[in-house]
Amino acid sequence: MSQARSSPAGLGPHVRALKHCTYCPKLCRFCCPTAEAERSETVTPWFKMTLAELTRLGRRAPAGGPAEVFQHCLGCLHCRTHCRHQNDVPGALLAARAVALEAGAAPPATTALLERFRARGNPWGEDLAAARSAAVPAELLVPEAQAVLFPGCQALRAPARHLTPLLGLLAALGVEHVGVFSGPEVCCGAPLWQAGDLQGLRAHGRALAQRLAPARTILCPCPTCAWVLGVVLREAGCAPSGQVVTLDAFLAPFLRAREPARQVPGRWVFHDPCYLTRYLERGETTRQALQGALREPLLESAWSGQDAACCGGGGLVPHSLPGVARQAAALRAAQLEASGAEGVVTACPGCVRQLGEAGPLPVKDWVELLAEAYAP
Amino acid sequence: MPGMPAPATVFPELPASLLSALRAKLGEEHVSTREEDLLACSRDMWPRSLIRQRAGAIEHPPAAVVWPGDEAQVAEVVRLAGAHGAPVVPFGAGSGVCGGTLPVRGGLILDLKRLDRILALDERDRLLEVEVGVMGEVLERELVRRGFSLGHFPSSILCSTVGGWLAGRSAGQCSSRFGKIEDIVRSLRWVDAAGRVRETCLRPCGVSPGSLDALLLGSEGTLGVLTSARLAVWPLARERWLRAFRFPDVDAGLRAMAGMLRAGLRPSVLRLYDEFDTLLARSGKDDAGDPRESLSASLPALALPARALLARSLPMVLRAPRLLNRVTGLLPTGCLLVVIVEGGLAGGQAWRLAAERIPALCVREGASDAGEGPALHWWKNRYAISYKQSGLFSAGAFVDTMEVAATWDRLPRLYRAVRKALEPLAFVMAHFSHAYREGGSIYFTFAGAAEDDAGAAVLYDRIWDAAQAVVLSAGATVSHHHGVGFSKARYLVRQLGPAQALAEHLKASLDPAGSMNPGKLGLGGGGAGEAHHGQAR
Repeated sequence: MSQARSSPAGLGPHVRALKHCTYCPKLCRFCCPTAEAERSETVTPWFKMTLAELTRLGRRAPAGGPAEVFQHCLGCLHCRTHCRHQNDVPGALLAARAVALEAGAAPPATTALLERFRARGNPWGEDLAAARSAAVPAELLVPEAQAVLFPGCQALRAPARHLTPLLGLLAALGVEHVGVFSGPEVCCGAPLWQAGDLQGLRAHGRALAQRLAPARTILCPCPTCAWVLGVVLREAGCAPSGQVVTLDAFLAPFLRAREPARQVPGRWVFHDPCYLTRYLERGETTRQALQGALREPLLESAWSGQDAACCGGGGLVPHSLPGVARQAAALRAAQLEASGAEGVVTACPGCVRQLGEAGPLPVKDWVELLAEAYAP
Repeated sequence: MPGMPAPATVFPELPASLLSALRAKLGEEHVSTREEDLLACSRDMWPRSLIRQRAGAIEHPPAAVVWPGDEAQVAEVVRLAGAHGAPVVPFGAGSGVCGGTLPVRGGLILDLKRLDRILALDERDRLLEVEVGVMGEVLERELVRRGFSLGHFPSSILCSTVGGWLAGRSAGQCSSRFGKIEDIVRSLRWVDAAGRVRETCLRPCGVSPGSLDALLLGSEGTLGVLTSARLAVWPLARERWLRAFRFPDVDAGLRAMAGMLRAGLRPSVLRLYDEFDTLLARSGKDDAGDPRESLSASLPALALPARALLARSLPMVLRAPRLLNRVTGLLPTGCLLVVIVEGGLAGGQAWRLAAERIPALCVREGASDAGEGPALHWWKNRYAISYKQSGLFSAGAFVDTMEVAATWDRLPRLYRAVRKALEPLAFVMAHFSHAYREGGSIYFTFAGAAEDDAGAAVLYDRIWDAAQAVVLSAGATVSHHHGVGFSKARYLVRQLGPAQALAEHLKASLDPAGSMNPGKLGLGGGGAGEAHHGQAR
């Protein structure tokens, strides 16, 4: 797993990275999705870190401009792919946001998001528990299950595209022992973490941990949830006791044991979700699992794997800076289209939504293709 | 130190009528006077600015930043700024090292990164038409995807734009094969100081009588704003021959390099490192970040405890540069020459012939064949050197580079004279990385430290003055591929001598209001390039 820090515990732990970025000639800027989308010096990793360093030194107050600038990071970690210092820019900017929040200087969009989260337990303020009840057969909503599927809020916003095919796939593969998480905490808490609300994150994490206490295995089809439940909450001291498992790891033995009923036609290009590939380092295993279900070899874009561009769906950017998120998605969609593929396949509900709205190619969750291939 | 008060930053202002007009033409979101946007464009990578920033000083903030979306909007901005007498500073990625984008007279930063389209790629005629705001690495990757390469690989490729390359006459690591950017350009589009869109004639080769290209290339925005260019591209190399040779000294290596070029051989990469730079070039598993670590790792003769001590106390060690230069000068490393010849280009089998002849030429000058390893190591780490800057500045020291050029007969003396001049002031090393039939460039790297940042700025100026005095007296050029900008303006003025008046006349005729990037290249009056002296004292 990536060694990225996950706790916004003040800027102190980030001094080395802050200094190195401040004096760096902007060597990662070309791969920063917000810098490329906005074409502004202000949102390059170099200047965001410079501003955070000035804040740490007391030369700039976080209120106003700096707090707003700290939001312009998708948390994609692409910068680190090209940083020989292995600086954790997203981690430092999370810490900077926490400093701003603590100082009462969070931007209005962040404050509004946190209010929505407090009201409904997810960043959209939607009733996603009801959506889950509508999509999941009641017999699967078992609070005391030892293996629990945690769909995540992104999947619950479009259950027909993510949750329904996944349940179908599990049934087709003969997986019978997995229940679906039934607690009111439909979100892993990533938005709280990304907003710098460490206190809120801990409270949310403790509630989740309590609800998930019976589970020995927590299956996370969403890579962001897998990272937050498996790493962030552990570092925050409120992790669930069960083992967090990514979907590719969970499915691997079942896929090995069974041939697909059919291979899905078409030329598909794979989009690496940032948390899957750069944080969890499961991009390759996901590709391998997917390839068996396809008739044609999986295509790659010119920017793929550790070098894949973010779709614009990371962090709080889709909530607080929707125009930036759309522009980043458009840039990524163009890269994927240039591969000559007929469709895009990815492994994150957030990426499916972002890319689906950005380009002409159809975009599928990989569970949709697997479900199609293994359907009886 | 945390909490230490920084000098107050004074932000210049523009007439409200100009800002309103700009917002009406470009859109509200593409004109900013927000402090954060101004700070982000208040310096480039001129190391002296980094020293001053470390001390808390923001010396050259602009009054506004604008982001035009196309060439027509660039013209609008230039016209409006001209009408209001506001300086205009074209800006790409701000990675220049000579202060070329510092708004030393305030005014507007004209950020060109929204002009980042690849307009056309003619695969048959191998011509690329591209806007100036595209990042180098992004462009090269797109070309590679389509089976081509620009052949232009400056070590700043990750953080520079096409416009920056054109404005500063950049050179890539494969310059001995593909030439500098001016050899790759086939035509330019630009906006003149009156806000009129101009285009130079499309030419089939690098030099054309009467073309304005020679004037605009390297003009650093002082005559107008470049907006797009047509550039030659090459099919991707299919084969690559890599080899390194170890020479007893710099002179022998230079003779071998000159011999290759005079024999008509055109390796893509031809780089000779002096003794200490050879150590750095070879050091490390992959040349990563912290120069304190790589410096100590480069000294195999030192015992481990001594290396550890050196790594921790680099700034202190750098304050005794004479001793450090002498000690490292005694190490028996030899001088490494990296040669890379590429095949599958237009030259057919010529590359194979070159690869066969090069070893004999090197051996004749006393070299031993070091095999493929060091060259492969260099290739894999060819952009790594830029990461070392951060560690040195973070540690309280500073580092800079000086690239000058001369004919083959002058290069060895120039190399020794600059070294001698700098030995009491800074730790110094050099490599020779852009070679031509008649001569080449020397790329000096110097690192220094002082008791505090004010002292560091003074020392930094002394180093440059001492080095450039030698350069000028040796008949070398004050710059080769980093441009002149603000920092070298006074040296260029001295180099031009009486011809400076001609340059001023030319500037006055093309930019009568003097609004285009004033104070750069020694143009625009007011003691350009001298201003920074005394600021830190």
